[in-house]
Amino acid sequence: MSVSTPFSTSSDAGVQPRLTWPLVVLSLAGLILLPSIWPSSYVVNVLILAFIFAILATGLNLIFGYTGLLSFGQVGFFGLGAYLYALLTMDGGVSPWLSILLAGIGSGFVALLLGYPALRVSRASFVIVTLSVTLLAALLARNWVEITRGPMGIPRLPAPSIDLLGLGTFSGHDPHVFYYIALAIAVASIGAIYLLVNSPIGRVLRAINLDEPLAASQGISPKKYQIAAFAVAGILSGIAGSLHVSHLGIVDPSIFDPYYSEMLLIIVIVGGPGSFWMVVVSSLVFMAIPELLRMAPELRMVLFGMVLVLAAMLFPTGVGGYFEQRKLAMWRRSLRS
Amino acid sequence: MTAILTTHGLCKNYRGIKAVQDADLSVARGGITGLIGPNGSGKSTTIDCITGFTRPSSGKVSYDGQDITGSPSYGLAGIGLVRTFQNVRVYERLSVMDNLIVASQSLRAHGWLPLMLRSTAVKADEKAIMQEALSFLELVGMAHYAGAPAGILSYGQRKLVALAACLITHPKLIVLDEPLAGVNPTIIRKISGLIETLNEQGLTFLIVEHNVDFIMRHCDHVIVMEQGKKLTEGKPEDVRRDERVLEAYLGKRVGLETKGTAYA
Amino acid sequence: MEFFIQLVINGLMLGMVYALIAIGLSLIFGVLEIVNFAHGHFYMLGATVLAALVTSAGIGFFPSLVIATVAVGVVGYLVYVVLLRHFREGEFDRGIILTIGIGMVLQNGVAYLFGSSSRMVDTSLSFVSWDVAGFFVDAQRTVAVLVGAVAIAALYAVLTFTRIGKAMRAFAQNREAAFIVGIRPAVIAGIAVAIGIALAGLAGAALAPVFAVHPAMGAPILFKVFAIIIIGGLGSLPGALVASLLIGVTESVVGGYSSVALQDAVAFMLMIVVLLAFPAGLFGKGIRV
Ligand SMILES: Nc1ncnc2c1ncn2[C@@H]1O[C@H](COP(=O)(O)OP(=O)(O)O)[C@@H](O)[C@H]1O
Ligand SMILES: [Mg+2]
Repeated sequence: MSVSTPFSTSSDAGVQPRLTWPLVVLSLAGLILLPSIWPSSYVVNVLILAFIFAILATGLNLIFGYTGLLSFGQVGFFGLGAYLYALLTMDGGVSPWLSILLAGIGSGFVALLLGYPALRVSRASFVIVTLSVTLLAALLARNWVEITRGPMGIPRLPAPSIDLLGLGTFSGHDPHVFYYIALAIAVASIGAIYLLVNSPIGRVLRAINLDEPLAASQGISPKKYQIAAFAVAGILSGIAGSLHVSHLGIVDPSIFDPYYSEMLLIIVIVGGPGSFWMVVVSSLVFMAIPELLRMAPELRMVLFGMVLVLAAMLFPTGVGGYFEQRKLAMWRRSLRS
Repeated sequence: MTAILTTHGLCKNYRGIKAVQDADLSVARGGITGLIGPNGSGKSTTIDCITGFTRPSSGKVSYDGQDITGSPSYGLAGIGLVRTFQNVRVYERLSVMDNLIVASQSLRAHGWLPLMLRSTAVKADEKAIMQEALSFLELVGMAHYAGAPAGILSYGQRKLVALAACLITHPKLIVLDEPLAGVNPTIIRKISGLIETLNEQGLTFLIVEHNVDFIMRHCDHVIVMEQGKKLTEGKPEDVRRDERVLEAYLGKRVGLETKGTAYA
Repeated sequence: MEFFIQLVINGLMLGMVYALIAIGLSLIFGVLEIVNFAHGHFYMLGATVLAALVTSAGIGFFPSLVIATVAVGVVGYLVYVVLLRHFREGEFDRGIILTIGIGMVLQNGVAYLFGSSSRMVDTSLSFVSWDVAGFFVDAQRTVAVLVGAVAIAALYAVLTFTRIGKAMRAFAQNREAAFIVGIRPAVIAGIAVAIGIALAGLAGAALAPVFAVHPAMGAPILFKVFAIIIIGGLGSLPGALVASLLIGVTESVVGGYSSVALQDAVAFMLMIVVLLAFPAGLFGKGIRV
């Protein structure tokens, strides 16, 4: 037994582990420099949306890709975070930065409370309960007018600003400033999930996903981990939602639009559930596509629907899963010879 | 010898089917107890009741002086009771090494933050567990597969890994559901030898098995089930001579055949 | 009191519509263990086809109803043959992803071809109302409910008395049992999917003159029906029927005495309560997926 044998086959598929870190650092450097090289606010705005979706998609990847629970609650928590941000900043007088944090925590807390009834019966009921939560949240947003201002929404939301000592204050209402705020929050939250899924906890989550009874026989309480993962994914959604509306400057019930759910699902499915970096890359790609592929939005959604159908039929494990399968085949070959 | 595990009046009904009826079983500490009986006689269901995978309809299960009736399955590995499954289970997409690390209890004692940040204590623990896992993999002869995904292993190799995963939990009692079924003779010898060695080191076993040779050679006590009930129990050689046991096996087979023609 | 009775009658009518959709959904879940996320979009397809036949082709309401139902059923059968047939047991998530994709294609395809605005369908029954024992009943709604009741009764007869129907029920209970009946599982499942989807199409077509027809009409009603089948117990057809009527009446009464917003939320709130009190649903056998 040589020490150099790779113990974990679960490292991110697609790229050689050795290459992953240089690539990540390089991409990050590129993203930091991009606005100075290509200062179009159009490009900057597209990338901001991509960062927000990358946070959202990483949350879904955690609960679906790693933990194995298909959740339709993510957009519900996205909207919840958005409204929490609006209410905290507008009615509560809380600062934007703290509001983003509290929006994440609040959404995560609601997820924690919902996790138990949602997981009570079966995976089918989990899907339907999480979906219903999103719909209920949308209903509330539209009808609880005293709090949410109803269909008109809450306009004129503040954006977080950066206070560089000595250099002055940079307002987040400037897209070029907000770009760095969104990037920083994306790096922090996605980085935290990276640490989580690559820690022993991530290994346990994956084990529960692969074989729940076996995990239980080994002293792991599947529900405890599943509910915790659901809560963490809820935190990410809440942060993404608050970030999104602080950029838009307004929150209204369209934050719960099915469009968000559909895009989120397609990002994770094509990237590959359980493939960490592929899902992040997929978020960037799918947010850029509408800008590159100019056509009627309906036609584009028809195409995206077909992509989902094809992915479900041919590549249920996505791009990332394809690489993992190749790795498996390699192992088989090496054992035969 | 004292009993490490006992059941009293254990019953399990599945909508009309009485899978287990009024079973009083006792597993002696330090021994190898065999649980035999024709297919469908309720052996696996009994194991499921004992290990918390299904709630008994009535009856009591005690383990190591505690009442564990209806306690959840995940609460038992921590007190030294682990099991394997009839259709062997491993985490196919995890490496063999990761299969063992997941099963190990000690990493889970750390808080989530140290685990996420891989604190020095976690790192040290992980290193120790890897060493331990490796030694168990060596014991079952699977060390050279440590880095391979468990999904590529043969059925017999999976059973060896599943056994190693049991061992890394530091159990007192291991419940094995048909550990030799569907496995080639080399691995049968390997597993039999392992059970013998581990038993000599003080581990207690409760084993469901159809392999008569194994039962006769290794078990010091055999319980026979038939149609959910305990038919008889005793020393292997006595049980073997028991008319009723022979009848249970033969009768069942004849019964199955007549049923088969009735359906066709 | 009269107001209350009027609300209950309206509620039963609404419940009947839910039942048509819920029973089809439950039937498909029973035989394939797939939660069909495209089901509401087949309801929309039925309404769209009927609207096109009545408005553009000038065909009468009842012939159009039959054509729309059959057409949607055929599409459903094709979806089974081309896509769903390739699924094995335990591929629950893949089934959902696939049917969401199908739904996206249907909804946006219809929006692209016919536009996404709402359309009204006028028939000879529009604006007619009947006075039954002093209660006001809308003719078009009544026809829709009667059509639904006939369809459900017919389905009940098929499931109880025909060989294929018995095979479907056996199949839903136990996959191996289907072989005993001597019908190939693929045939059973294909017919069940076609019937289930045709029922959704029928509901859409029958209601097209009552509600406005538009491409996004499928999702809201489907989600409510999801809650209904959880309340009734996943895969249980009687459960789906009873829960549908229950929710229909509750919604109508709540809407009558309280707010429309609460009316829309009732089904979801009841679902959470049922999940906490009876995890397997009111009639469920607690199928684990
Ligand atoms: N989950 C279940 N639902 C319904 N019946 C079951 C279930 N599990 C086991 N049974 C029935 O209980 C009886 C005993 O099965 P089992 O314990 O697997 O027998 P053995 O392990 O001795 O072969 C069989 O008749 C089987 O059909
Ligand atoms: Mg068995």
